[in-house]
Amino acid sequence: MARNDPYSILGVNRNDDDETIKKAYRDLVKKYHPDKYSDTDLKDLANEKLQEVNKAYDDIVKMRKNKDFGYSYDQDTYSGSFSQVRSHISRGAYQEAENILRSSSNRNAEWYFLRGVIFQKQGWSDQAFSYFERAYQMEPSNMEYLTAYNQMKNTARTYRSNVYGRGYSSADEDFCRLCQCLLCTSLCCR
Amino acid sequence: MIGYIKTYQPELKMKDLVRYNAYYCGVCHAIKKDWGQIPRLTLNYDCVFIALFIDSFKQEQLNYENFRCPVHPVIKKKKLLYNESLEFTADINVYLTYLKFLDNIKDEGGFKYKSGEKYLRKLAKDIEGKYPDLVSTIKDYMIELHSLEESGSDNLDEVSHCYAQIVRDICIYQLKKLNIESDILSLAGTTAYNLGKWVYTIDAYEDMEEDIKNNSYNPFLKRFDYTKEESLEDFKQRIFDRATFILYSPLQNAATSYGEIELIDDTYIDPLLQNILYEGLYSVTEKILEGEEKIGKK
Repeated sequence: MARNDPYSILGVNRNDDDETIKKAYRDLVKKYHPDKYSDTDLKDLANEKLQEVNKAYDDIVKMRKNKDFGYSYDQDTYSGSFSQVRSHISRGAYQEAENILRSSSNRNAEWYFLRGVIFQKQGWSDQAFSYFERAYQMEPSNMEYLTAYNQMKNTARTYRSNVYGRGYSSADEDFCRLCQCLLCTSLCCR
Repeated sequence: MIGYIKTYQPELKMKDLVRYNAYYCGVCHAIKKDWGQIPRLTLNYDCVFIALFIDSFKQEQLNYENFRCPVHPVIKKKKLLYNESLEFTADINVYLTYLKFLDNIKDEGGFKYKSGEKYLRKLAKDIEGKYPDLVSTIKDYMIELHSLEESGSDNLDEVSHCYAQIVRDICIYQLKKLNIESDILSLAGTTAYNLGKWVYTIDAYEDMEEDIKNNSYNPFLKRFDYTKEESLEDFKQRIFDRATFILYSPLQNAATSYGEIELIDDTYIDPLLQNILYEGLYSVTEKILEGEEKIGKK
């Protein structure tokens, strides 16, 4: 199996059902939770692993739903007070979800988290970050909020590792200009 | 806010570099053909990217022609032959430059921009007649952007949203004509949106120094409560982590949606665009964060 195969990262089979995959994902998130590691090197390593696991899970959900990206919001698994909002979000009906949240007076951690999700889905990352941070601060033990908050914190690192994963090397671009120059000279002399 | 979307040449294949340059020359010639010599000076990389991006969904045979460029008279160059998408890009390039001039007049005034604006205004009117619906949406977003800037908004997402929508709508306008699935269309729109957002944001970041000097609006200064007592260096240091996040997250979002297109149908994926999207924009962002050099042009 390929090194980047999301199924092998989670240690599951291609034909496993959604529940099994979700369980495997949750177990791995617990295993790599940064709070479990006091040593900083280990902590970084665990964090990297966590990123990988998050990405693998996201990819599987994506591939399986194809039209519906990101986390999967099942109403049965999450018994929070905003199940309707979650179902709107999973359908991509962000405006409806936003309207319910706006009119709600119950501004708990989940309220901040879900507004964060809506912002994130629309590419408003600066706002999303602040809302996830707030949700996490209000309820630090909640895995969902922590994961979202960590994902925000690691955005730059994730992008960088994508770029370096593609074989980026910070070559001096002046060398390129030099090559071009030489090439041009050789073209002229031909 | 133009000229940031670039390739990263050390990692670029020769054939892709040739294609990129042929697009650049192709758009330049299209501007000359449709609008005359002077507006050719306004050609910028972002519009070349828009042409490449739209064409990557067309998958048609490209026709090149050799020519001699007066700016580089010694070497023979390849250009893309005039076609519908070069025509569109040339028009959009001229129109966006016109908007940029309007913006600069508002910020700084000055004879240079005023005379340029006067000249471009005539051309802009023609372009408006050609694409009335598109131009009217662009104008709506410009007005919205203007009023947010006037009110001194500290919401970076909201301010950059306007420019992001403009870039998105420009791409969608052309892509809609093609027979592509709605999923892919919407992902392409999201990619364009985030690139537009990145361009606005990084331009604002680079303009901080000038905006402090001219006492003009800058969303970063508002967002992080800049006061005159603070030096720009200290300010940049203070906001560094969050600014890094703010600059990278649209790139990450663009890469994610482009990656999703690949998951659905990888025949749409163009290695040249991948080079820009990953290595090119990464390199520009790093340089600007490190404060190395001025990248965008006024």
